[in-house]
This record gives sequence, C-alpha cells and structure tokens, in this order.
Amino acid sequence: MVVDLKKLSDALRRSSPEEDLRRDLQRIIRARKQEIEETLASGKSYWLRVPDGRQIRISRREPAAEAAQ
Amino acid sequence: MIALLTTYFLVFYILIPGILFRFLTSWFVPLKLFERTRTQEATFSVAVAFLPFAMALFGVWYLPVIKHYPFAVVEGTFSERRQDYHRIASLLTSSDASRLLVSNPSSAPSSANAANWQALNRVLRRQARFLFWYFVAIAIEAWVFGTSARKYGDWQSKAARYRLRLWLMRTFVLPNISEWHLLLTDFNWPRREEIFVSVDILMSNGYLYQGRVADYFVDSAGKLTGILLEHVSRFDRQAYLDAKSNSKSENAIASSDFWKNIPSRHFYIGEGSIANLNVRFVPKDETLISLAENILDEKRTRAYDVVVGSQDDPGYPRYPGYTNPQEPDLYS
Repeated sequence: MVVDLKKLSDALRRSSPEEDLRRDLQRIIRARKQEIEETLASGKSYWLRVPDGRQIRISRREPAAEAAQ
Repeated sequence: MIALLTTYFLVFYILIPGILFRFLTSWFVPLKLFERTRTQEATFSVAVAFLPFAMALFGVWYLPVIKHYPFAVVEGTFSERRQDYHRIASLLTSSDASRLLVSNPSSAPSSANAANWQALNRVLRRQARFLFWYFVAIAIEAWVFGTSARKYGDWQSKAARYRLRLWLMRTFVLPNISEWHLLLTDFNWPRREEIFVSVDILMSNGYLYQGRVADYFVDSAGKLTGILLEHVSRFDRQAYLDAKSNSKSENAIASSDFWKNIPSRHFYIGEGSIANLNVRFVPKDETLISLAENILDEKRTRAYDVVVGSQDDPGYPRYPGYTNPQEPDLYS
C-alpha cells in the first residue's frame, strides 16, 4: 500500500481536534441540558460521556469554591 | 580479488550506512517499512549516504583533526599516497597476490614486498579513518532527520515561520515515515497541545471497541498487525437494541449509556479481527473541561464545576445493571 503522506498530513490538519470536540459537546450538552439541570437541582452530580470515551462529572459549583476563585 | 573488493564497497559504503541510518532514525520516529527490491534498497541507501559521504570526504581531506585521526599514519606527499594506491591496485589485480606479499619469494625482491605491506597498512588505516567519519556523518544525519520529524507538528502550526523547514520535511522526511505513525500518534500536531488518539474499532464479529491508542505494530511489509489500547470500553449493542425496542421514544435512549468499561490496563486487538477503524484526535483534559464549562455556562454565571472522571471516582458510571465495583462484569 502506497500512501501519499503529504496529502494524508494535509487532510488530517484540515480538521481541528478542539473544534471537533466543541461541536460534539455542544450537540450532547444541548440535547441533555434539561436532564443535566434536573440532576444538578436535586443536589447530585451529572456524569456525561464524551464521544472519545472520557467521562466528565458536572456539578454545581460550591459558593465557597466560587468565592475562592 | 575484485569480487572481494566490490563486496567490501557494497557492504561498507552502501549497506551498512543504510542500516545504520534506519536503526538510529527509528529511535525518534518509525520509518515507512515495506519490502523493497534490491535496486530500491540500494537507491535508498545511496540517497541516504550521499551527503554524509561528501561530508566525510571533505573532512578527511581538509579539516585539521579529522584529516589525521583516528588511525593516524604518516601521510607523505600526494605522489606517495598515489603510489600506495598503485601498489594496492597491483595487489588486487594480480593473479597471485601472495607472491607480492610473502617475505622471501623467489620472484620478487623482499624490499618491494615490505613496501607493499606498508602501503597496505596505510591504505587500510586511511579507509578505517574515512569509514569512521563517514559513519559519524550518517549518525548525525539520522539524528537531524529524526529530531526534525518529531518537530513536524510544531512547525506545521507555524507554517509561515518555518516555511523552508517544512518544505525540507515534506520533501525528504515525510515520504519515508510510516503512514500508521501519522494516523495513530500525535505526530501531525504540535506537542504543546498534548493531543492523544482515540479509536473506535469495529470488529469483524460486530463488536465495537473504543480506547486510546497506547501503541501500534507493523510487520516488515509496513502492514498494521495490531493496536494496543488503554482506557477501553465496549459497546453493548444488544442491550442498546433491546432498550430501543422497549422504549416508546427513540430519542429517549442515548447510545452513550451502553458503553461498558473494560478494567484492563492494556487491550490488544489484532489486525485480522478489525473490520473498520475510526480515528479521532482528542485534545487534553483541560481543553475538554474549559469547553464543557463554556457550553454549559452560556450566561457566564460560573455555576458549573466540571471535572474529568476516573474509574476510581465514587459514582463513576459503569453501565446499566452494574453493581459490584470490585469485580466489574465486563463481558456479560
């Protein structure tokens, strides 16, 4: 198999990992916004799976932590 | 004797430089591997060896230290050096070289034989000195090649500033790098961005795995033989289909809830069982947190706290029905 590495490199660089992740997160978070708010309102944390397999924990920021920041 | 001399030049001037270059470069970046014909292998070696050969030749002719060391000999004049090579050429083309080298032959005076030995000694020393610096130049070339290749991602992100370096890289270095290195590592991205590679692998038996690429393996023909993954999860397609069929609304079922974590440090998947590969370049955790916070907090109230979880965190989601944190049931 002969691959043109220059073309492959250019094709890969045309996408931006950060931009791709932003789009994925926007899609997922907007679809689940209500579910997230309900969970947070009940005092729990919400676990969200990102398409790359990582899990993020979303919680309400503690007032003390907020003040410290 | 001529055949022996030809073999010597082929081995020391073409084959060993090519092997040395590949070996040293592989410390930095894997080169494209494929079974070459002898002509292709020789062409590659000649291309690799051309510059170091010229550098070594210039060094042993003109540069002060390199000119004499290592393997120092009394150099003599230009005509004396030429005389040495004439003697060696006579030895090599003679039908009976031993006649010109033995200490007391009947057919040649012993002083001439002693001079032949001395010429042989000087020529061998000069050859050893030249080869020493030639191989040093090859090593320097391999180091420059390897370190340049590692900086490709950084240079690409500042293309206007590194235009010449990028042109050199793309013309000479990039075509010799394995395509799998581009696809399965962060080679193409700046190092400061700390990109990692996540893959979704659809197996020929229908299973779908996801994980970070820890390593990959290619055979002598450059073909992928397997991928080593970490942080692996498997998609429970059957449970997903069951949930979808039992649910009144299709939108209520999120596919992300049906990924099962596999608590294995490393997970190897052989190429033979891979049907499809989806490669994703993923930013570091800090970027993920920052993006998630910005998207959640549209009104900038700073009300959300986002952290990237690990499997040791209490409350870390496993999959529907998971109960025992000590013994996760990964294949049920």
